[in-house]
Amino acid sequence: MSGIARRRFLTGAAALAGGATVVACAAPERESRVQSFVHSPEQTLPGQELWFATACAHSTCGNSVVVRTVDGRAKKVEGTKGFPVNLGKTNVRGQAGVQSLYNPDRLKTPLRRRGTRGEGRFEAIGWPEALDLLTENFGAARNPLVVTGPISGTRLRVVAPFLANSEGRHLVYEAQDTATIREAARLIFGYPQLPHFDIANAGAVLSFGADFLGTWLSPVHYSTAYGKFREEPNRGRLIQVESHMSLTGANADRWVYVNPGHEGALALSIAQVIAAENLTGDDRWFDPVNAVGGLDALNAYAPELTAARTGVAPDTVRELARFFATHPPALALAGGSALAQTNGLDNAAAALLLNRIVGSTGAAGGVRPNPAAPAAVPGSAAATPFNQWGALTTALLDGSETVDAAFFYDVDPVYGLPASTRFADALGEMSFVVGMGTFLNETLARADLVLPATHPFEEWGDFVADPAPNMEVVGYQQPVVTSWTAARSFGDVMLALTSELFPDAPPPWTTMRDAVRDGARALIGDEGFDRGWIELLRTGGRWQDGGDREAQADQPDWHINLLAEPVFAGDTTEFDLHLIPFENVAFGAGSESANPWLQATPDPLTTVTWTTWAELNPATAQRLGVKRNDVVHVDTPDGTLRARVYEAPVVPPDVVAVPIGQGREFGTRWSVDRGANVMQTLAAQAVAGSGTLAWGATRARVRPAGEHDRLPTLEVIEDPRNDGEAPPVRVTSG
Amino acid sequence: MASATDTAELPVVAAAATLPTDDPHPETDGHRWGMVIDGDKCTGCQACVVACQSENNLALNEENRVIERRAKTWIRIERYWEGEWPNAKARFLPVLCQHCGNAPCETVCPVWATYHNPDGLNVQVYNRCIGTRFCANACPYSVRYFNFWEPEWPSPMDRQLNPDVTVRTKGIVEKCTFCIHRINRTKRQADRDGRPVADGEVEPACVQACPTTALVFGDLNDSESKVSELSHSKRAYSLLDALGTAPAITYLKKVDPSHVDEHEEHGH
Repeated sequence: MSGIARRRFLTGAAALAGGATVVACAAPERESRVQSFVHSPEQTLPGQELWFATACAHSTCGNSVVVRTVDGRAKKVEGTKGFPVNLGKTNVRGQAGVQSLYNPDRLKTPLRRRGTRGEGRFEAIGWPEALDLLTENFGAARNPLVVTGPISGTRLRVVAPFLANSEGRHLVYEAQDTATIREAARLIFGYPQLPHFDIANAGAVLSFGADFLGTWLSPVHYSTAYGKFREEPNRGRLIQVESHMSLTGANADRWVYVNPGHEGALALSIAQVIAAENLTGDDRWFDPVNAVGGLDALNAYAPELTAARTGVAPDTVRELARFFATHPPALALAGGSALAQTNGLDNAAAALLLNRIVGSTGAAGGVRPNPAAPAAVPGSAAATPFNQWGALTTALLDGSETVDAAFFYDVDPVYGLPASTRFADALGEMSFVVGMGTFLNETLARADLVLPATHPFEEWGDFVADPAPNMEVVGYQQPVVTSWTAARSFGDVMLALTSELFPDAPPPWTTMRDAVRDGARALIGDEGFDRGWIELLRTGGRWQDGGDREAQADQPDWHINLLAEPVFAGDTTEFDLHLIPFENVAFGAGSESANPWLQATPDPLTTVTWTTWAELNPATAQRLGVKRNDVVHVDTPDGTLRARVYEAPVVPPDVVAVPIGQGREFGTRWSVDRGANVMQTLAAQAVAGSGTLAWGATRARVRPAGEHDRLPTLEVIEDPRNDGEAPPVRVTSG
Repeated sequence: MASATDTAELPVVAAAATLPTDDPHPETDGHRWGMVIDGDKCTGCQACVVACQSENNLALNEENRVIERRAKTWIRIERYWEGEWPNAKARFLPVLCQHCGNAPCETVCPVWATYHNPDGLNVQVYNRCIGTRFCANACPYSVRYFNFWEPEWPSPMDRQLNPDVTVRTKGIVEKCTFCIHRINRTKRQADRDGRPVADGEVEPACVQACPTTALVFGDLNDSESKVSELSHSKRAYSLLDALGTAPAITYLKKVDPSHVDEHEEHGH
């Protein structure tokens, strides 16, 4: 050992051993870096990748992903192979997860408000001080509120002890409405859970506005199913009926425009043709038709009688009916703006009724009941409908209700509820507001205390797939990297708060990990638990065909007479266009605008990035005296927004469509002061029967702003009016 | 530092693999990697686009970059309108480097930075590229991207960078590699195991992500591979076929059900 100090020798020996190990296991020597093992975390070998199965979101995702990590850093997201919801696949939001994880504008420490509410001025404080503020304000609070997204599993269980001890309320804010389709499925089939729509095995799919390839319920699962649906030799056929072309509509074999709010009338028209022409070849349509009012009631929806309302020609209705009834198994879906009308629940019920009329229930290619969530890992909390948010706001503003303390986690109702709801004002009436999230948003900016939440890749959790893929699925979430911020998980904070406030009745767990393990133990039993636990984490979760499934109700619990005419906010003479807000694949309901990859992801149909645009039919644009890239005002009875015009031949002439997701005052350097928030301009109307926001029921007018600003699009337009933009690449189709 | 002799030898070494031949796919003992893109399954969802950016360390495409037509997307989804309201349709076409057998980009590069490797890949050697952009101009598919700026990832976004893929600097051209690092890794693993690479074992990031399995990747030299089978489909075509570039990517036409129905009605 002459001439070499002992410490240097040990370091060098460790490095050489590491190098040798790496060479033996994977990459050739020249691709390896020799590093000391002295400070390596457990399991980590320098330069060697590790893949961890986890979840891609805090609550509603339903997909399991594997994250590639190298040297303790997350590098890439892929779907977990074999996981029955997403079958190893992901969508753009799943792929972009690492960029949310390492976004430099994440909330890094607890923040205490310095300025007035909504000003967004905060000072950084430590966790001890933040927890003191929490216990101080929630300790004396009457009527405390906990507001989350539609969380499931252990997240729901760790909130329960706090609510029980404090006599508090749990409100569930659902940015993307699922309550209407849930209620419609309950009315028509009697299923308490969201059913499995078996697209993969369907012969024909007739979708009333359900953008199942883009944003509807479980789009990754439905996309994998669509891949099978399109395979020869039994390639399925897709017909999309809607008021604004969605991504699913763009992929349909046939796309049919229907006047907004009249989707239910069209569905009943199709039902009438099936019954009147006995297209099923037997009398299977008779019982469900009889149960909802009978053929006489249905005859009021004969194609000739509905054409003026729906805008669909009688011959087209007959073609759709004949096609649907003669391509079994035939599957009818409902979603999107069809459900976001004042009569949206009945539109959905009428559409789903078609499944019963052609006998597509309970079997492959049709609508199938899903099992209930296991008791140990409860299913999603029911969403608080929009009309209840309105009632709470009114009560807070008129002083008939007080809220001493409220805890908002991973939600942004100030952004998502129409400005006319005045929820931001109501927030000001709450004595103490805590907001917890990964990024600052419009709601958190109005909080007294802001807590940094861990990213989904940094925390423990579990979830119940909802809708499930025709089997019981529980997904597991584990931290794949150590957080680079001082963030904590919602579960850990709730448990710490409850223990501190209620020492006589503490929760049965001290950490979220304990709680998740406890739920898993109840699921798989004590025997062989350690091995089973590792297996859960390795595979991403547990799934089985069993579980309790509710049998289909004998008959639908709905009546044709319930289908009312849609009501729109805004006089037709003053507001001549239907305003249709829509979710796109990158932003969904707007939660992902902080992510620059998603900002730069072209909208599939328009190829626009980074901003808000107003889609108009070229004829409408010409009538209004505007063209692509012109700035316009989109006015509604309850607000206005500015956007740049995008002309598209697929946009109906009486529609202006605006994407959801931009127009944030608070967020990251990539999301603030960019575009407009269309949700703020909507009228505060609810869907009758489900109480959700009727976000498709507002009319608008478009006014030129006299400005011109080029849209950041992927496509290049060969149009001399467009500032001499270069011609596109020509493509031949061989 | 390279000597004058080293530099002088460079073209000789590279030229052997670069010189165009009459046969765009000369027989080799190795692989000939190719892809099939099924237009009937591609929904235009963009999952492949973000998967590629994540895997290959593509710089952020800020708004100005998009407006200036300087955005880099190794795979992009082109959308084409067909017809007018109310019969207008949208069509999606994923476009990436076609890894042409007769690649126009290879013959114009003055420094042999782009060449055809023995596995049939059109390869870009970043260390050789001097940024003439001749290749980008010669490419009829517009899938070669010049780095006008140094790429930036505000800290700690740089932690997400894939250590298997070089970060390209200002002044050079980059493009799709068919995820060559994944190919090489799989080949090494197969060598270690003493077996051939199995069909479907190599998945470029775009193929792995595609939720509808519209993208299929494999060895065109393996007549049993799925990509070989699909490339002989009646729906198969090549982009800009008339140019004779012999792409390694085969597209399958979207099925027009009205034609199918017509055939069915006539008893075919």
